[in-house]
Amino acid sequence: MIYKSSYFKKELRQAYIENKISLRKQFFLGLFMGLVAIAVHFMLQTMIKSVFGERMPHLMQQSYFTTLYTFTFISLFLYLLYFIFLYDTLSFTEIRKNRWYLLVKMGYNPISMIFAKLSALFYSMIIIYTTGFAVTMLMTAFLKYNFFYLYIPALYLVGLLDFLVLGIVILTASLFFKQRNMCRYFALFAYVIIIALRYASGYQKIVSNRVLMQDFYVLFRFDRCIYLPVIAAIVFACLVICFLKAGDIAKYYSVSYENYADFLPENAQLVTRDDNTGRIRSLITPDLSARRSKIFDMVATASLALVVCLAVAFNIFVILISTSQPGKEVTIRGTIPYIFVSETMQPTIMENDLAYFRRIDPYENVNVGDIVLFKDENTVYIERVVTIEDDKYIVDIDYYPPAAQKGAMIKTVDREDIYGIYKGASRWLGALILFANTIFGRFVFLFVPVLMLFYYKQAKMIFISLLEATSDDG
Amino acid sequence: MLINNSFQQKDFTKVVSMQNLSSNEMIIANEDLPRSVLHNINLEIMKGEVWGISGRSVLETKLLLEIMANIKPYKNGKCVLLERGMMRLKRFILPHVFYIGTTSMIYNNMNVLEFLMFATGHKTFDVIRQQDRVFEQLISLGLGNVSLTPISTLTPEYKVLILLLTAYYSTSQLIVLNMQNLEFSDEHIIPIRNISNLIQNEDKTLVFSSFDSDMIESVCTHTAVLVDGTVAYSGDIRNFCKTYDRVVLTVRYHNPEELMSVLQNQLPQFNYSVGAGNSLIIKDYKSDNPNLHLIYKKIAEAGFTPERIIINRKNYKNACEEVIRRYDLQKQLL
Repeated sequence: MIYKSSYFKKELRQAYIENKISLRKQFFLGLFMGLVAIAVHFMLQTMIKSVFGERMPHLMQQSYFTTLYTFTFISLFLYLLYFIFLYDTLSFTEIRKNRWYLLVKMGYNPISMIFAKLSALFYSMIIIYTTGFAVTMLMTAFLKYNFFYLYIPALYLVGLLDFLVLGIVILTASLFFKQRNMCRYFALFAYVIIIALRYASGYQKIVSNRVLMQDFYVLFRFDRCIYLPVIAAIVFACLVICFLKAGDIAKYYSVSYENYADFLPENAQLVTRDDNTGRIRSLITPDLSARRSKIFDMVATASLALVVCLAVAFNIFVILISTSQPGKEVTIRGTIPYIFVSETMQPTIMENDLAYFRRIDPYENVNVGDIVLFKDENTVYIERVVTIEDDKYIVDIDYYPPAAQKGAMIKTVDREDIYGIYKGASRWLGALILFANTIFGRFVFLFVPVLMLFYYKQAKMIFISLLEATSDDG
Repeated sequence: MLINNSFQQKDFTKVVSMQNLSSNEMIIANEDLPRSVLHNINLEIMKGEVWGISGRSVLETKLLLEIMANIKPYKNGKCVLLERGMMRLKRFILPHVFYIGTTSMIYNNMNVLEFLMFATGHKTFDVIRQQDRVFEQLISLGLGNVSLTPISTLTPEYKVLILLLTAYYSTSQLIVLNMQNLEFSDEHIIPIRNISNLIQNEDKTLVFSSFDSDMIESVCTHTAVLVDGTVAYSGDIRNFCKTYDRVVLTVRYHNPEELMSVLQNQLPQFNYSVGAGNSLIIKDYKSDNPNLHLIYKKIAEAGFTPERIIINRKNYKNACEEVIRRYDLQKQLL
């Protein structure tokens, strides 16, 4: 076998697990992203009749637009994870490890290496994204949604641009961060900023509108939205910084005084003296960036612990609500929470809302207009009090579906059967509970927290070893 | 030689010239006044020489080589590399110096041959011929057994060998190897010697730091010994061993003290000390050609039957110890 490597090929092979050039691996990554997007689409479909359906119709519809839009979002997040895991091989960290020193000595030009690195990044990015996009389209075809192609080019471009800006921002940041964990946190921060920028600039409104997206050029109408000029400026600035800064770092051999610590005699200090002031400064000081990274790690761990605790508490709440039975409802500080699974009290209580009822005693006043929780023949109903006649309460629902006979749900209830008065409802909490009851929700709110609670150390070790395995320290 | 460069054609005889150089870095030990880690360094290294820098402190040798390679700036004095003065504070990568200070500069995701082709073959059109040359050279250097081994599975010592070979292929005139924390055994020293021969044949210069006497003795033509931040000796290694290794005999006997007291009376011109493993070390500071027969005769006459008598071949370790001993003695006298 004749070995003929170029820096571009070296970059490509570094970017993938096992360090082998393989288009197949890039295709598999794209396939994985596409399948995850479809799985998320299925999960979202279970929540159509919730607040999500109203607030995010672009994620809930049964259309190519929805699946592809979901893919653009999911793939960006997965690409972020991919970058975090393969940070050492994808970023400019190798310059700090003096790997470019050797190549520069062997006649490689740093500028062409920077160009090759960026080209390799964009090349792999396009392959992964395009594969994932195509897989999502193919899977959507199996769902027999109506095929409508006009918004597809615009959606393709939207996702690819996000990939581009995220990739280049992380790559540029890697030139400034000495601690890789800090840069990993920065990557997460950059991802959040990109999403925030989408919302703040109004870009999100455009890309989530399937009618607008049918016009490919809508993205380029900068009077409507300045997101694209902003990210174009960011990408351009990052490219300039990459060429200048990376070229500059490549001029130096990177060496740290920390390496000397092992060779110092006991009770000795390595210092330098300023000729002008005569001040003596220690050269081996605790690395500030390492300390900052440690603080970030602590904050991240504490946040994770908080999230786990909240998830566990929420899951207990969901289980309590799910196990509520007529007459044996769970009461939390005098409040009965109920998942309302009907349209009958629209618009006050929507389907799948979490409604709260104040538990009342048999002597408390119930007025006309109150929505009440009552028991009739061992079945629990929620209806509104219409009139009160001789200690008898006439109740009815607010909304009859078009085919239903009006007045069919009018009931006469004794006071002692009424045990709760409507206090309010939470649409988002209701949707969250609905999500928690899906398989994916059980996984997120139950399986993962339990795993983290009991196997936190092992999970952390696996995570760290995964991160270490992807770094190539020589 | 695989890569030619017009730079090499220039005839620089003096590769490194350090005059009264002192380092920026200072050391404070036990509440003493700070002293420069390196001070009054005077060193001249010529083209085609192989230098081994040794001493008592890793810190000093490491720093000296880093300054030599322009990795670290220096404070006072003068440092000239290939007759080009180095700026005191700037520390750019110099085209004529190849510095090896870490194994992390090698790519782990390749095998040895592939890496060498990656490093050397990017400007070569005849890749097949180039690979043949590199492969044959690996075999001739004694590295054929690792030529197709993935670099990730190599020991750091072998990685250094590959880096040293890469440095030889580069256009740099001065190769600085600063990896004194590694332990090289015979299987590494032989290829290092072979590579250093190639480097010498190309009229390039190799400078490395090591605390392994066998390695320095086996590979180097010249040596420098650093003691307390200054050069205690610099020059030809044979001359160094001849001048400073004064040990003539090592006698193994179950009671070396008894043997020593007898010999001290009978042969006072020699210097005696008890070494490790019940051995008596006999040194001669007065003559370069001691009468060994006389010593043997006196031992036999005194009725001693030593387990072993070893005639000392002048070696680096003894010479180094002697230089350090003399330095310490001189320091005490001052």
